[in-house]
Amino acid sequence: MKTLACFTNGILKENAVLRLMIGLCPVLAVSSNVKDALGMAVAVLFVLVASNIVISFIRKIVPDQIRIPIFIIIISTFVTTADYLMKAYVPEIHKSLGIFVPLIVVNCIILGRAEAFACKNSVFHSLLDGLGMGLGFALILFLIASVREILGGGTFLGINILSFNFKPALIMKLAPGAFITIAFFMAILNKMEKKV
Amino acid sequence: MKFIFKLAFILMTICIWAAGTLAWVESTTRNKIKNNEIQKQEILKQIVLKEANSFKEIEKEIFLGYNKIEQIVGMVVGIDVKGYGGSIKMLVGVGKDRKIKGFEILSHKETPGLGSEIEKGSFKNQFKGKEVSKIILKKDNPNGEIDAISGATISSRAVTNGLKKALNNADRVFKSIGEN
Repeated sequence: MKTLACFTNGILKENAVLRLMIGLCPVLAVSSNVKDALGMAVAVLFVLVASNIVISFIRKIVPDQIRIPIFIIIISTFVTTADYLMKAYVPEIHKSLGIFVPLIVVNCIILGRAEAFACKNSVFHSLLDGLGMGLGFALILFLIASVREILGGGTFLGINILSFNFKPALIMKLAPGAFITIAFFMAILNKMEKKV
Repeated sequence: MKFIFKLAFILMTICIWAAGTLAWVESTTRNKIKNNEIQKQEILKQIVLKEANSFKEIEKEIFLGYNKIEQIVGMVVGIDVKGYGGSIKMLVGVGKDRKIKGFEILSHKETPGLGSEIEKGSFKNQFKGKEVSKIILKKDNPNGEIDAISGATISSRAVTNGLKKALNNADRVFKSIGEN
């Protein structure tokens, strides 16, 4: 695959959430406000890029039979690293995300890209793929969280931006709101790419 | 046969790498995390004893609270109890009247959704303004005034016992400095 395509692929064309439809659980769970969403996005981006690089680096010496346990060990090492870093440098986001940081280990995007891409491509291309997929995930997480926070609470990053007459739609703060928002963005993307 | 050894060796190498990386990360972030906890504690001391302006550590984990004119308004006691899933760390504000002014859970390892409800206001607020004789679960003693959380008796009891311990400690220290 051409170099630039590796990178841009994950942002829109094969966006993990809207197209591949993987990694949806954390999207639903942490997209209720923008601050948490950004924290999660950065953590996932870090783990995705780091694991892709390492897994690609050792791809020639990993025997097929034990590749999954090895991928998981590598991914969990980076997730735990991200967890410690967040606990040290952004403790309130870390507390807010709670159990969803360790759950990044089982985020399908990371294992999915390891299996589908990193173990079959060069380190540089895997790095680009990780960046692209991570940024695509971050983008959609940010958009969904913005919609949910503004419509569900009238705030953005905790600051009230809509007038006090605005009555927030509680459904946006709950899971159904997340599903509905994802569906809308999916529809928008399809229309943009004229698939509908 | 030799193949198994190759697999085992590769797995072992990766695990050693993982262990080493994690050990390095932990040691690098250890101090920052500890400082964060200390800072958080300072803020929480203020929250559990609102009347106090400044604190002085008089004993390990026991802080006297002073108001603006250097009068003692109460005490903040740090307490550690064994809960269901691990140790529960709390910070308890005690007034001179030996009643609970407020408390916060610093950390716990209780079950999410069950024991973790000890952090909820609906459970915590039961303790406000109570003295040691009332701080016992209703199911453990008819004189008690504390409702346990459904499905989380052990966690509820642990917090209750912790608060009793805090009040007893506070009473002891108050007496030792002449505040009877």
